[in-house]
Amino acid sequence: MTNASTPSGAQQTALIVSAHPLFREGIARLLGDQAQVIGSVASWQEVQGLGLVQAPDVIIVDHDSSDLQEKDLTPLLWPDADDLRVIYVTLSGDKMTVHERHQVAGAGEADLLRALKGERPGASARSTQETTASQPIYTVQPSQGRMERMDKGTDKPKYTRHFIVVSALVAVVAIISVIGLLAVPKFPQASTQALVVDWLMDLHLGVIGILFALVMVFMLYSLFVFRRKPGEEGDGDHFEGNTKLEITWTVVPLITVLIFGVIGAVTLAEVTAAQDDEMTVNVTAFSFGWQFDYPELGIEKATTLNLPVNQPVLFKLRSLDQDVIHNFYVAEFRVKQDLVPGVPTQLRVTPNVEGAYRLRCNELCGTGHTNMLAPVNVLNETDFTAWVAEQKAAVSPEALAELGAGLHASQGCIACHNVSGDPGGVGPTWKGLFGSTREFTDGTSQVADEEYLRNSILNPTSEIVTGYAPVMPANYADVLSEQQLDAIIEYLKTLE
Amino acid sequence: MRVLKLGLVRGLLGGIMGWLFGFALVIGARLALGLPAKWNPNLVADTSTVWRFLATAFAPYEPAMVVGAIFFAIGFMIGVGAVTDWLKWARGIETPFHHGARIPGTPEWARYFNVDYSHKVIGVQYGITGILLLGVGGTLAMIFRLQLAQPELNFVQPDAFNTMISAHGMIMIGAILLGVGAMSNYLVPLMIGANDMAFPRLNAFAFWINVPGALLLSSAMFIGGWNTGWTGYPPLSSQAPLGVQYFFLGVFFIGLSSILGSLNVIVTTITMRSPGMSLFRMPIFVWAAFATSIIQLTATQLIGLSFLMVLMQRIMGMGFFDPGGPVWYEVDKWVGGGNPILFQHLFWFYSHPAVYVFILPGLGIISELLPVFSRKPLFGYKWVAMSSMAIALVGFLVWAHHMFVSGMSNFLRVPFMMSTLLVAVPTGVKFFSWLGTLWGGRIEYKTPMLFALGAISVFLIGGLTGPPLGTVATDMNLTDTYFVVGHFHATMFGGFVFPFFAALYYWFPKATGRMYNERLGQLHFWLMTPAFWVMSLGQIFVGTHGMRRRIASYEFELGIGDAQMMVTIAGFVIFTSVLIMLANLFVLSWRAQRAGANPWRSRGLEWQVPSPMPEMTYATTPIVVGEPYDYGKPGSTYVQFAPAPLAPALGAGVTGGD
Repeated sequence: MTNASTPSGAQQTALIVSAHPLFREGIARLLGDQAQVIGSVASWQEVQGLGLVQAPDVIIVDHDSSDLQEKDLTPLLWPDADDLRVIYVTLSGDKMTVHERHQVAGAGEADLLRALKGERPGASARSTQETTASQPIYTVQPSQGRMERMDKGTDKPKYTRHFIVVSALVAVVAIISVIGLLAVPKFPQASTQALVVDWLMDLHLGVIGILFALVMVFMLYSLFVFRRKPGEEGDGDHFEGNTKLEITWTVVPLITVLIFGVIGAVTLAEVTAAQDDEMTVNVTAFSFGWQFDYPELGIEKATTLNLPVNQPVLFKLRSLDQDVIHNFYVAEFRVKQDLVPGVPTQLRVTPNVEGAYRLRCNELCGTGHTNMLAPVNVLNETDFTAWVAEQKAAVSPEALAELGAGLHASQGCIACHNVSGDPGGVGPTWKGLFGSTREFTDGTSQVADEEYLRNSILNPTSEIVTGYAPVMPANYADVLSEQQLDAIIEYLKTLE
Repeated sequence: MRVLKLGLVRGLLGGIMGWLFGFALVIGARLALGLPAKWNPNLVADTSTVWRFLATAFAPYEPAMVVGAIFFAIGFMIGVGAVTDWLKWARGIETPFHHGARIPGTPEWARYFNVDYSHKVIGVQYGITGILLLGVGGTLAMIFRLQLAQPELNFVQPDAFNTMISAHGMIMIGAILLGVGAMSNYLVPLMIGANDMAFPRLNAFAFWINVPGALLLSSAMFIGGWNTGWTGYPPLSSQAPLGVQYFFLGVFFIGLSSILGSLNVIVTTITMRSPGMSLFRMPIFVWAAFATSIIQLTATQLIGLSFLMVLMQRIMGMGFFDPGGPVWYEVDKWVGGGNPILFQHLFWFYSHPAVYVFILPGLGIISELLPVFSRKPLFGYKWVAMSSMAIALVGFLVWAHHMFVSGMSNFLRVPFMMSTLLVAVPTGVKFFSWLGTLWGGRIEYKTPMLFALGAISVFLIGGLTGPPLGTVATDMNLTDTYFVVGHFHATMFGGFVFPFFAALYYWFPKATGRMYNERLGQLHFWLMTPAFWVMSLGQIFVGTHGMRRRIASYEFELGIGDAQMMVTIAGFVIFTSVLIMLANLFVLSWRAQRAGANPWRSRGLEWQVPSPMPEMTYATTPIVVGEPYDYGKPGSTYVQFAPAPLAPALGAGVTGGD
C-alpha cells in the first residue's frame, strides 16, 4: 500500500494514517491536486517503516482510531519539525469533521497561532464546516477565530436574558435574606458596648445576606438552567475566563474589606474607650469561681457582681498566679476578655439596663468550667447604694476579726493553736504569727502574709514550720466558707 | 508465624518493645540515682474500676511514660520496616528499587499492611487510616452531642466530657491531615504524569509515622484523658492529667508526617511533571496541594515545638509558659519566668495556617470536578491557581485573630483584623470562579458533582460567618461561643469533608475499577447536605444566644434546648449518611459493575489509562500538548502518550533514590 514519491517543492506533501483502507482511499481522492500523497499507511509502525527523513507538510490521521491518537509518534519521528501539522478527521454517518492539531511536544498556544498564520493551502480557510462526505471540502477547524471570541468572554447576546433574570432574582433573594437575618431575635442587650457590637453585627448580616443571595442564586440558577437535559451529549460553552470580571471581583471585595477594616477599628475604639468617672472593679478568677473587689467603695471579695446602671465600669482582671486562663463574659454585655495568670488585663462595660444576668467563664478551664458562674445584677442607684452599705457593714475588718475570734473557738483551732504566745502547742501559736518570718523544714523561709496564711489553712502540709509535725487535717477548704477564711486571717492580723 | 509477615503487626510488637525499653530506661536511671521509682509519690492508683485504674496508675511515672512513648514510635518504625532501607544504606548495602509487593509471595491485600513504596498504596493507606480516625472522632461527637441535646443533662461527667471534646478535636484534625495526605499522595503523581513520588521511601516513612501518632493520640483518652481542648493552652495543659502528654506526642508525630509528606509533594510537583506540563497546565488540584505543602513544610514545626515545650515544662520544670508560681505537682516548688500568651502565638502560628492546609486541597477538588461535570473550562484558571497561593501566604499573617481577647498587646488587634479580612478576597475569587465555571455548562448531577456543589454551599456558610469573627468588636462577643463552633465546622465540612467525599466517589472507579452505587451515593448526599445546613445554622444560632464553647451542659434559662436538639438530630443524620457511604464504597461495590477507564469523560491524565491502574501508571510517557480543562473545544487534546521504546531520554519519571 506504500506509494511514496519524491515531494516536489511547490506542492504540499501529505501522509495519510488510518487502519481503514476506504478511509485512506477517500482522503487521497479528496486531496486531489491540493497535496501530494507521499504515504498512505495503516499504523505508526508503518510510518516508521517508510523511513521518511523529512517530515511531510501535513499528516492526516483517522480521528476515530484511538490507538493512533494515543501512540502518536510524530514528536519523536521528526523532533525538529516545529511547524508540522497533524489533521484528525472524523467520519461519522455521512458527516465529516476535521480537526487540526499542531503536534510538537511542549508547544504552547503561541506556536500554534504562528503555525496557523503561515501562508499555506488549507490553513486560510477559517470557517467551521461540517460537510457531507459526498461533497468533501478540505477545511481546517478555525481555531484562531474561536480563540479570539473566547477571550472576549461569554457569548453576550445569548446570556443577556439569563443575566437579567438572575440579577432580578439575586435582588429579591438578597432583600429577603437581609430582612430574615435581621429579624432573628437577638439575645438581650444590657450595655452601651452591646449597642456598638450589635450595630456592627447587623452591618455584617446585611453583607452576609447580599453575598449569600449572590452566590446561592447564581449557583442554583445555573444548576437548573444549565443542567444536562436527557439525551444531551455535548459539552458546555467554551469560555476560559474573563480578566475584567476577575479584576472586578478582586478589587470590589478588597475595597469592601478595607472599609470593614476601618469600621472595625472605629468600633473597637468605641467599645474599649475609657470613660470619665469610671468605677473600678477588680475581678479575680480562680478554678472555679469569681471574686469582685470594689477598691473605691472598700468592698472586697464579693461573690456577686453588682453594678449601678449607666455607670461606666473598668474591670481590672486577673487570674490567680497558680491558676489557669479564664474568661470574663456576660452575654448581655457582648464583650469578653481573658484572665491570664501573670498577665493583667482589663475590660470596659457600661451597663445600661437594670436586670439580673450571669457571668460565665468562657475559656475552658478544667473540670468545673461549665459551672464557673457568678450572678450579675445591674441595679438602680438606690438599690446599689443599699447593697454597698450592706457589704461594708459585713466586711469591715473589725467585724471580720470578731467573726474570726468566734471561729477560732468554734472550729477547734484553739485545740492546737493558742493565742497566748506559748510556743509549746501542737501547732504554732497565732500570737504574732502574721507578718513574722516562718522557717520551714526544707530550709526555706517565707513571710507570713495573707497568701501564706490562706495556703497554710487550705494546704496545711505543703510547708511545715520547723519544730512541728504535719498533722493538721487538710479539709478546711470544705469546712470554711470564703468569708470565714477571710475572717480567720483578719483575726490573725489583730494578734500582734 | 505468618502474621509476622504483616508490617503492622511487626510494628506494634516493635512499638511495645520500644515502650518497655523507654519506660525501663527512665525507671532504671532513677533507681540508679537513688531516687524513688515514682516521680510523684503523692499519686496512687485508684483500683475501684478498670477505667479508673488505667486513668490513675500511670500518672506517678510521667517521665517514664513520656520516654516510653517516644521509644514506642521509634520501635514501631523499625518494626514496621520504614527505616530498613536507610539502615542498609548506612551500612553500605544497596537496595534496588522496585515497585510491587515488597515481600515476594504475599497476597495483594497484604501490601496495605506493610511498608510499600507505591504512591497508590500509600495514598490508600492514608485514606483508610484517615477514615478510621474520622469514625473515632465522629463517634465521640455523637456521644457528647447527646448530652448537649437538652439543657442540664449530665450523664457524661465533666472530666470525661472535656476529654471527649478534646479528643474529638484533635482526632478529627489528624483524620483531616491523613485525608489531605491521601489526596495529595494518590493524586499528585497521577495528575502530573509521574509513576511515583520523588522520594518513595520518605513517603512510606511519612505515612507510617502517623500510625504510632494516632495510637498515642487515641490512647491518651485511656490514661487519664486531658481537659484542655485541642488547643492545649497552658497553664491548663501544664496541670492537666497525664493523657495530655500522649496527646502532645501523638500530634508531634502526625506533624512530623506533615512536614516530610509536604516536602515530597513540593519536590514531586517541581521536578516530575510530564514534558509539556508547564505550571499553568497543571491540574488545579496540584496547585492546591502545592500551596498546602508550602504551609505544612514551613509552619508545622511551630505546633510541634509549642507542644514539646509544654511537655518539657511538665516533666523538667522548664517554665516556658509559667508566669511564676508553684508547679502543680509539688506546691513548694516555684518555677516561672514564662508567659502563657507566648504559647498561643506559637500555637496559632501553625494552627491558623493549618486550617488552610485542611481546606485548600478540598477547594482544589471542587475546582477540579466542576469543569468535568459542567463540560466547561475552569473559569479563570490562573486566578484560581493564584488564589490558592494567596490564601497560603496571607494565612501566615493572621494567626493572632484567635487571640483578640487573650490579653496580647492591644495595638496588635487592628493589624491582625486587617490581614484577617484580606483572606476574604482570594476566597471570593474562588467562589466567583466556580460560578463562572457553572455558567453556561451542561451540568451533570453525579454523586461527586453533588458533593462538590454541596461543598460550595456549606463552605459559603463558613466563609460568610468569618468576617464577624474578623472584626474585633463583634469577635469580642462571638469568640469562644458556639458561633465559632458553627463557623469552624462549616469551613471544615465545606473545605474538607464534602470535597473529600466527592473525591472518594470520583476516583473510586479509577482506583478499583468498580463503580459505586449511584442511588446510594445520591441518598448519602441528600441526607447529609440538608442535615449539615440544619446543624450549622443551629450551632450559629445557639452561639449568639449564650451557648458557650466547650461546656458540658447549659442552663434552661437560655432557652436554646429546641435548637440544640435539632443540632444533635442533624449530627446523627450526618453520621448515618456517612455509614451509607462506607457501605456503598467498601462493602457493596465489590459486587458492582465494572467501571470503564474514563466514566466521567475527564481530560485528566489518569483517566487515559485503564482502571484499575497498572502498577506503573504510565508505561509510556504522557506528553502534555494542551490545556487541562478545554472542555467544549473541538479537537483540543490535553495529553498524548509516546511509546516507551522511542523515549529513553524522556524517562517516565521513576526515581529510585530518596
